[in-house]
Amino acid sequence: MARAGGSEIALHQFVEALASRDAVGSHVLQCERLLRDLGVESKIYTRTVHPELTGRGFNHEDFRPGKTPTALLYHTAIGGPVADYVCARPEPRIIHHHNITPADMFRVWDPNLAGFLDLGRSQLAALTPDAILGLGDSRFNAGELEQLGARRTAVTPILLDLEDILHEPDEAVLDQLTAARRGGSSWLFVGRLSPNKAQHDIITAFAFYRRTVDPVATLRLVGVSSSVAYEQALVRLISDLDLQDAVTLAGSVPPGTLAAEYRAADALVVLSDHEGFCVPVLEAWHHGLPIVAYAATAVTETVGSAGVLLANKSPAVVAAAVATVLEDADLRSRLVTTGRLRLGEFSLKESRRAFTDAVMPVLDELASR
Amino acid sequence: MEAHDQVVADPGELAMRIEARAAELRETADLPDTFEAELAERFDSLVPPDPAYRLPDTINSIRAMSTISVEVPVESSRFPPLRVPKSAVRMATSWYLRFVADQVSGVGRATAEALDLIEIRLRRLEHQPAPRPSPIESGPVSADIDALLAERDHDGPVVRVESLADLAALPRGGVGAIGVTTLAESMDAGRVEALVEQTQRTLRTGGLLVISSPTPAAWSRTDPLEADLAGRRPLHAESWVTLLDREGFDPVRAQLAPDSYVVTATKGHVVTATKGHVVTATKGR
Repeated sequence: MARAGGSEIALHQFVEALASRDAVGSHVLQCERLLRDLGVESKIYTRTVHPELTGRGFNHEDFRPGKTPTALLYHTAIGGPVADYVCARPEPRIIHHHNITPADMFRVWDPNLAGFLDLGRSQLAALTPDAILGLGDSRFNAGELEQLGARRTAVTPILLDLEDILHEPDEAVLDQLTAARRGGSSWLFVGRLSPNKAQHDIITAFAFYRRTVDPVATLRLVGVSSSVAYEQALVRLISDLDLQDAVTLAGSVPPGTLAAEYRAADALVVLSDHEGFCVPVLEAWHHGLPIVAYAATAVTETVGSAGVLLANKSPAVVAAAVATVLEDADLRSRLVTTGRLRLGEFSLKESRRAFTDAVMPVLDELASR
Repeated sequence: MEAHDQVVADPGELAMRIEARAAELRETADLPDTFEAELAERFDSLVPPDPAYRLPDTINSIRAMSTISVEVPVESSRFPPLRVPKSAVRMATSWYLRFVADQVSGVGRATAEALDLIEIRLRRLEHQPAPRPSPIESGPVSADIDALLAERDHDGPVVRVESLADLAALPRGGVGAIGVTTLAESMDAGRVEALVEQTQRTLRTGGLLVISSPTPAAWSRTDPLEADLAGRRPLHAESWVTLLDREGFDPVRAQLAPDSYVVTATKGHVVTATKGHVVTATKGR
């Protein structure tokens, strides 16, 4: 396909799984659209395709390069055969590092998954040194690529069409959630039930908050489970702390319900030990929800100054931070305003520009060889 | 985008406010000094104790994954109409794909079962006795099993068997020596189990068991298309030694040559055979 400059180039994407309602999956689809807009030939190759995306991805072993100069763009998330396939290919490669959860966080909960995470890390180490470009959703991610020997890196925020992920709330659900609050404050966390997201720390901090600040407060944890053992431990913890009536594991919810969850809550509390980006922060800003977050990994730079970042997450400190935000109307208002402004930095337009600025010079160099 | 950089005039001041509020909360009436620590301990008590004890879960996971999908992708990236003939080919060959899938699944199961033995060996490490001289010696192997049986006197009849039916026909506890030929080459776990049970039943205490077999390597050379993957090809000499030793034979020795081996085992006074042990041990080749 001829680009605006007249030369031809192909950049095909490879990912272990093309998932629906998933940050990496959405990003890959947006990348395809952007590359085609830029006149770059591009297809998605993967091992599994979510049924909702049938026809959007092709089996990675069916990849056949054409006569056009071709590079490969591999997206990291977990280990798998696609990485080995890309590693063995002769074409120049670009790595987009969305980060891989450290396996140790899963070791005791799901050894099998930990094995795949270990595999992902080892494959990343093999893929990175020869890559012509390393992309990171965050400075944190790009820094990891540099530590692995990447010669050239850039920070390109995840490509998300906010119009796609930011929905209007389901009014009926919103009414139900509002009624269920019983006059107390409402904490919210959105993300897979996963040890690295540390929902257990949220629950213990919330228990402290109920005991010391608001005895009728509620907490909703929205997200599908990624570890049965961890989920069971959370259920047991909730029971042990006698919080069954106050804490809800809401599971995976449709977009309208998710929007209602944000609208019905008073604060998004993020205590994750590891995040590669943290999309729920953007959703919280959109819905005018203040954020209290533990300053770790990529959360620190995604939240920036548009949230209260904590250096430690002891129950008393988290409870005090949420209480301060909810009791100080001026602080809360400024956080909401700042969040909405910062959301603009992650607009699709801005992210497409960052991706274009990072990738096209490299493709131009390849095309001119 | 810099306008929002200072959501609070002094972030340090906000941090101090939060710390001060946290200190206040910790002073809440009726709140035990140890409350925060207790909260942490509540969760810590729910964390699985040691990754080593999760090994069975890993094995189960691998076993659960020991299947493959025979759904061949029929999408065509280069020429979409090709999907139709590809689908037809897939339908026509589906029986063969399922056959291949079964074979691959067998490999996966064999791998998982091999892990069973590794796990057992790991657990037994702390109970291992002091190292003994290797019971396996390399060198020429006599093909004359009658000569091996005749090397020593036996209190009771000496018999050669070539089938499990031969063994089953023998009387209980009165046989002095049993020579097994042409039987051990192609035994699955159940038949190995039956062989051990029958020899224990029929041999007198102190009786001799002699097993002669081609090695797996020799078998592969005979038919390179027959991979030794699913536990149906000759057991390694080491496997027989491990198995018979665990089942109460003492001493157990093996003479190993490139293409064949002979295992000799004397029935001991203590018999510890259990079905579970036999099946597990025969898998870990």
